Amino acid sequence: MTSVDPVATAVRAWTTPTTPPTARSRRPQRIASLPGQLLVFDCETTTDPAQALTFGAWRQCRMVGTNLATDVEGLFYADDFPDTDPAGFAALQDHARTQPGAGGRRLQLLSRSEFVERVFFQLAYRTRATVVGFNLPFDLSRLAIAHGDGRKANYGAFSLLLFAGKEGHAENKHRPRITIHHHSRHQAAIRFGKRLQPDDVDLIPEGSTTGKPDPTYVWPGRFVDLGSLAFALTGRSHSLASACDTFETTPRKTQADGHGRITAEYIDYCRNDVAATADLYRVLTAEFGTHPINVPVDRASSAAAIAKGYLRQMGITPPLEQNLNFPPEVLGHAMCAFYGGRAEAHIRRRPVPVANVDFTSMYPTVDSLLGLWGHLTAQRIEPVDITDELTELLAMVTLDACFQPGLWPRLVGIAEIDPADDIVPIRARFDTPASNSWNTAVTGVTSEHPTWCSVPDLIASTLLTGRPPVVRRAVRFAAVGKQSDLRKVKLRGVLTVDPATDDLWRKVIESRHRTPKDTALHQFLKLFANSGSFGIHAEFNAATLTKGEAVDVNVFGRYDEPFTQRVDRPEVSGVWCFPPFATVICGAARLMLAMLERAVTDLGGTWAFCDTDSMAIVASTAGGRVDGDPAIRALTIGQVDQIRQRFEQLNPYSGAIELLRVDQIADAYVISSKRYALFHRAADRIEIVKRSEHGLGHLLHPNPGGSDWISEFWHHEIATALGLPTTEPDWYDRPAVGRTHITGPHLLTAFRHINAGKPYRDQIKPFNFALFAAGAKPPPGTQPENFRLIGPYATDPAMWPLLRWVNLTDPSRTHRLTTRPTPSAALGDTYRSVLARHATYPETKSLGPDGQPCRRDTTGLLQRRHVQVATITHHGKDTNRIDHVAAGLVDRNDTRTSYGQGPVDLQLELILKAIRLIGASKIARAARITPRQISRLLADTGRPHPNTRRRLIEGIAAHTNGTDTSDTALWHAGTPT
Amino acid sequence: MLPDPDPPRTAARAARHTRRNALQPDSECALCGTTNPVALKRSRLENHHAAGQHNDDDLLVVLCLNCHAIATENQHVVDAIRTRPDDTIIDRVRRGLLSIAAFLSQLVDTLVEFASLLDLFCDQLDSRVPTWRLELQ
Repeated sequence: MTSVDPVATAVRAWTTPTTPPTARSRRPQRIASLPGQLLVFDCETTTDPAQALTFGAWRQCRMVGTNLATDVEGLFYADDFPDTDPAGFAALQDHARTQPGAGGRRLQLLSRSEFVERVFFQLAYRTRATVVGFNLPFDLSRLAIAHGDGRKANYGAFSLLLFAGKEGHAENKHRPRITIHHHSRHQAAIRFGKRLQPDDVDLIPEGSTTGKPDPTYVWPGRFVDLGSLAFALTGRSHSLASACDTFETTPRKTQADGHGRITAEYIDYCRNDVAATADLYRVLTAEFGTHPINVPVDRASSAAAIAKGYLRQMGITPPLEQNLNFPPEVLGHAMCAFYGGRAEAHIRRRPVPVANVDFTSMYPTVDSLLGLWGHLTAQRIEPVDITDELTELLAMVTLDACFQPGLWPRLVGIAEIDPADDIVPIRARFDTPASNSWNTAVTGVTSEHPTWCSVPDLIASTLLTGRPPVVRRAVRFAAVGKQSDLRKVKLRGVLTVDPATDDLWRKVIESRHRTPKDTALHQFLKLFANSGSFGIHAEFNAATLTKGEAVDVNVFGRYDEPFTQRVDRPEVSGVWCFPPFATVICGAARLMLAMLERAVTDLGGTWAFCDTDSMAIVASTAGGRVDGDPAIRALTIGQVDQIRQRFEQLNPYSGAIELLRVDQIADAYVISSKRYALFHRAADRIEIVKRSEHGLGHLLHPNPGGSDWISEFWHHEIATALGLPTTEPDWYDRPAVGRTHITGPHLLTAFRHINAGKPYRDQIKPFNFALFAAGAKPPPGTQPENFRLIGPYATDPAMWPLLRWVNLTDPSRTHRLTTRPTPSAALGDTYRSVLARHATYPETKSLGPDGQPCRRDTTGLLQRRHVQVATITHHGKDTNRIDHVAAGLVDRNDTRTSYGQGPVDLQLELILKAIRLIGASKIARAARITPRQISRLLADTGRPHPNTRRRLIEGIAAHTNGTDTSDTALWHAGTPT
Repeated sequence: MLPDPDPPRTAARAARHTRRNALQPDSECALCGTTNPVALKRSRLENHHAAGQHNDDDLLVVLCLNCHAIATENQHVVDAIRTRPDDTIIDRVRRGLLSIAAFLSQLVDTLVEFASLLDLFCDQLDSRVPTWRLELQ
């Protein structure tokens, strides 16, 4: 491998539909206030893989002011429960007869059918009450007696059938189905479908002022999943128990002695869960009610939704609504310059002493330094040509100049450069040519093709290389005027913000630091700043089309003109999405890290890793060489403090807020980007003080009830690296298994053979938990491609090898899972092998100390890997369906929209160049295609078929006989994905 | 009061009544101010067609059951809501105006009653808290 590697690169793109969207029926308006009636319920299930309903509890409640009054409470049981568990049914009957219900009434006992007809339908549909639950999709699917796959607009969703028909009919079509479309771990769209012959009164739209029925109206239901709401209000995933503890409900959730056997205690446990859920609703809606925003509580599924509500309440118009004529090609250029946070490993698999420093609220801080609040509230935003000004600025910029706050508002822009070993962000396939893994790096980039970068990234490059990039053209986003309808708002009903005069994010951060840490206001302000200052400007969602459907989109990318591409996963930008903001904010955060890197290296120091807003600077009390290695020199803690003080010049905050603060002084052990641990060492003892779980968090605890297994792994790994005595955890040889949900028909279809012939209650159903076996290999004789093993859920690890596992791509046969090779079973990864791979995961975007690309066995100080751009393709968002990608259930490429290279096919240009160089007949022979096909290509009569293209690449590679690896890599680098 | 045998059905009935009458959660009687507290399971508010439904279907006023009964009776007294086959548009306008006048008359009575209640209230205050006028100045 040569020192400058050719790589395939990708940039993001801005897309618009080629045809204006057809007029769709308007989403029904929701009123922000909630009606008083609630239906709260919870289901208990069997502990087998079917997780079928056994019984459940429910309450009909009313919000009276801020209090909750329960009208009636009841229990319900599966329709066949009296037959399947007579003892359990007797316990339920006995309980209902002897125990009083809440609200001073007797406890009602209904079958599932009675419950859905007499309670669920009456309250959720006819009364239009709010249906409340925790993990509502799971509980609703327990009530179902069958399900279908969503069609048309509901493609990818489950359609649950709750109401059985009379006289042998499977479905009562006079009752609505429930459609559940899973969007993410914390967000699912739940709504009622249509029904036959609805009553006139059910056709009166919500909030109608006339009381007249609208024949097209469908009451969508009002479903509040408290898991989503708790996530929106805290920014953390919660279980019912942790949410009840956090919000101090009365009662709290209790623990059951055992699940499955129905006893009086177990029935009490279920009723208590419903009481806790109801009170959690009261507390969460009270907390939500402190926000003076017009967002319905059932739409508040993330902190960003609340932040957007506040921006609307302030009278701010979203940037693209305010700037309707903003040039789409500039949005495309800004998307090309958009990259995420900078995360790198620098000293690999070698413990070093560090001072881990981080920037206070990085994104709100750079937002404030750049003055972007003025842009968000501006009358309009205009792109202004600043090519000459930027060229002049880059020629004279220094590290000291970057510490002047006055410079930063001049950096709100993007520029097109001719990269010549400039250190700029790049998204590339760094590892094997056939890899589908795209990584972002800030590294030396050379390209024959111009590239768009944010202005802060160009300043950073100048600081790191000592010379300015060559600018072709540059654009600044200038804010003009002020929006006229801006209104003061009280954040959480307490903190007054005037959007016309205040810098929102600065005020929020300052107020947060003045507020005691354990208060709800402090937590909210932190969440608000983090979610509102950046992410909403880079929000893209993949639209769902039906199978086989595709649409044409205009792709605005690196060219000045759009090109058309047919895609099956078009992206839809969020309402507040505005790429110029997102690009500049991320670029400014990288500039901060580049300034920190320069400040450290100027003092002769180095760093172990960095991650978006933090850097672990190699530092010790005395400073000097680490373990005698001349390449790694530690700064003193005093020098780190000097650097910290230097950044205070940029501090936009008043009061005792440090811009750069020392988070930990400890030792660091780094494997690769985002895979690191900080620890304290005393003699032979190691104490992990901070560790990442990136790459491991999707796996189940191998030893349920045991201590933190990821910390155990880091402890063992670090102790081994330090040569300290350590005992291998006893769970290392267990199969590595993770938990997922069956969130869509594409996953449930894998179980169709297991489900075949079984009654519905015994089938694997929508939203059941399921297991996946990470990295499982097929049994001998089975196609190894796309082998993705998924199995029914079982909590006991001892059960995992006994389950019937299914290959997602070939569900016709089931497999046993084993950790030792056998002729018939699938070979599962053990935690040992997963962790062994994890512990040596290569930082492919860097070079090792030997100047070769980082391998699994590379240790020590890494270097930047200078690359040459071979091809540039346009991509969509990288993180769709992130849970399923991490679980290996879908290929990342299948979730990412690819828009292709555009009108200029760089790979084809390379192929043609090689054909002319080597000779058409030789390539035709090597590629096993006809000379005529080659002649057509040379005559420029169209593009080759992907198969022909692949053969040509293989032919060229074969012709070079593998001797010139850089050439081979170059060809493969451009292989379309 | 006897316990409600079927609270979900009662809630559904109340909700459908509210919807049919286009009542909002914060509605109150335009004449006496009675609200529709969520503690009540049956709505005590209704829509009154101030000009008579036949004359103007859209001119609605929210009234409580008592005030609505009186308002409707007043419309009958002035013969404002009875329809005839040979009605012309002029007849409908005339009866609509009569109907509105009946409602306004009821409103006047209510305002006078409120004012007299306030008089009474002030008299009570004068006797029990003689300084209240000074405190309000």
